[in-house]
Amino acid sequence: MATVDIRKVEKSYGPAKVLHGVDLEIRHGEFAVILGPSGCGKSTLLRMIAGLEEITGGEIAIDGRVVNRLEPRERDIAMVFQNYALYPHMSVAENMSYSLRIAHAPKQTIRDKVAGVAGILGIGDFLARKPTQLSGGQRQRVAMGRAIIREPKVFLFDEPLSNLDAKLRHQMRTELKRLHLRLDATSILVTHDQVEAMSLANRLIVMNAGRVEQVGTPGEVYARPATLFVAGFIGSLPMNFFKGKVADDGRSLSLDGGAALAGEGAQIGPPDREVVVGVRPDALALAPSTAGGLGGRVELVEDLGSVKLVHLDDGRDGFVVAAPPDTELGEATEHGVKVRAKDLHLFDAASGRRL
Amino acid sequence: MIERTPWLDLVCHILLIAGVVAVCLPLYYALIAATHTLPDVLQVPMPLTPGNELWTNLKTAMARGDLGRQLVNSLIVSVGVTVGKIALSILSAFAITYFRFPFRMTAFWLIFATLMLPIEVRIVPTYAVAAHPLQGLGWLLDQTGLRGPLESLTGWNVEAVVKWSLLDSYAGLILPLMASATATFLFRQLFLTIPEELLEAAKIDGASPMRFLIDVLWPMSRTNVVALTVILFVFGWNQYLWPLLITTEASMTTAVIGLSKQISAAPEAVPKWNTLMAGALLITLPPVMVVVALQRWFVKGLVDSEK
Repeated sequence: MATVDIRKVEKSYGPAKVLHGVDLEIRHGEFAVILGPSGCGKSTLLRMIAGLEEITGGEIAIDGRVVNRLEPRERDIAMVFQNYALYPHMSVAENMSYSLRIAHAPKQTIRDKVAGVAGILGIGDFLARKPTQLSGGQRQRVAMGRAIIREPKVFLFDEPLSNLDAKLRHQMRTELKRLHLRLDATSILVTHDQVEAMSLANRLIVMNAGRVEQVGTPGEVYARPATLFVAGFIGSLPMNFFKGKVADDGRSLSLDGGAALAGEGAQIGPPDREVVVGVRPDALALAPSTAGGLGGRVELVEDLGSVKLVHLDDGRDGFVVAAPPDTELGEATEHGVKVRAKDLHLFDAASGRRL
Repeated sequence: MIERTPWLDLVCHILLIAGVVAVCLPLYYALIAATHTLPDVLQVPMPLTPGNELWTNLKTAMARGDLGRQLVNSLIVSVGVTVGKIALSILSAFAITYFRFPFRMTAFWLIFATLMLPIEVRIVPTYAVAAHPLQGLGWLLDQTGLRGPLESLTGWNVEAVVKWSLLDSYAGLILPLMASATATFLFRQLFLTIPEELLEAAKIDGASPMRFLIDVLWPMSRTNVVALTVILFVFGWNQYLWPLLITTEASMTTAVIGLSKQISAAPEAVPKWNTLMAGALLITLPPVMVVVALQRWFVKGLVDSEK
């Protein structure tokens, strides 16, 4: 049973602060994925858990034991690197068994374990090969094998799939998930790819600029983004944002530019508040143009096969509607859009927090 | 790319052939001279075709001036210098590249600066140190007044220790030549090209710094080590000034010194060029053998380069 507790962890490089007090609790058996844009501190956090970076402030505990002052080898973790970091002069078997050989495990044990792990990963045929003789996917498997063989309490993955091509990435993703279930281990994965994050995580941690923005299941984070940043970052189609103000009764919105959105009788937000409204493209439906409603002129259409992305020019920043693929649109025609009140995400204009 | 530049080609080839002649002709002369009797060699012009005295001359060369012993000395010194230089430079490059310690860059630049200081430049102070390495200790004991108490307490003969000398010893021949800025620099540059993730992976796998050096860096440096071995062995073998200075006993003379002493042994007599050249051939043989033997590994290392 391995948990990872991160308490008020900070990291500075000289005067530059990259982590501003991160608090996280990762439970046993969880597949925690830390998602964020590059430079948000996610890799730094992972490397601090691994013991490759010093912890400037706060505490990290693995399985209840504070590891701040422990060497990586004493932390009972294994890490898979983005570029695999296989030892180029060692064969696959030697690469995988290096940690065991350092620990002076008996030869027979090493052979059995290598065979076992190679069986799990399907790399039994390459054991005598050097890393240069392997394809990207095979190297990735060897790197995973090197981690698995140690039977660590926690697996750390630093963007493990980003060096693979799209098809292989998808395949390895499902394999990674299957492996996690099979090993019943605690895993922490860092990525900037939200599809990867959503598909692997049972807990998604979204980070930005050295802070945790939101923690939750992928479904929760998608359905109820806690901040403007999360709303804009999660979702394969970027969310549309409109600035506006909630009416005095809290039941309708007036957007900058004149359009109004009605709350269908229900309370949609705190009265008389400057807000940013977020709507996902697939929550919008094209409708006949109406005076005073949200709408615009068709600027361009992206036909993705399963969906048509209609870019509407509303005279301001413009927005995107995901329309069914059979939609026929005239060029530069005016269209209105319909949206249900429950699909509106309201954020405080000043703080960016969800209302 | 296919280019047709006949005139440029011609000029280049003439230059190259001239270079080859300049390098090979003296060697050819040495070879020819080693195959004739002394009167033949002293003819003007010297014969340009091989004679049949090679075997006799080689035997004479081996017998004269204790060449066998000198070859062994040279071998010990060259191997010592080569192994020492590689061990020392790989360790210092490892320290400078992978450890953070105060004045790390100062240490690096100090080493780098000595690139410009060959042994010839520092030969007088180096000789002084090699003659009495522990003289400083004696001075220190005298200044602090600790010599008397130390001698009476431990029964050590401080004077004997201070008088200890490296002259006429293998250590004296080898140690001052061991520090190598060039090799340290080469290893440092090599280590800098090794991805940092390898170090991190090794750390996570539980490797101590020395394990990382032995298990990862050393195998990855093999090509460089082989190339350096060739260069350093030849460097050690061809040392002239330092062995000349530090050895006085005939039993410690190296082959190169021994040969040159034979030339100047009897100034009024004519040097026996035929046996001298035969000796020169014998002395050239070990470096050539090292080059030939390691050439294969050198090329092999380059071919299955693992980066």
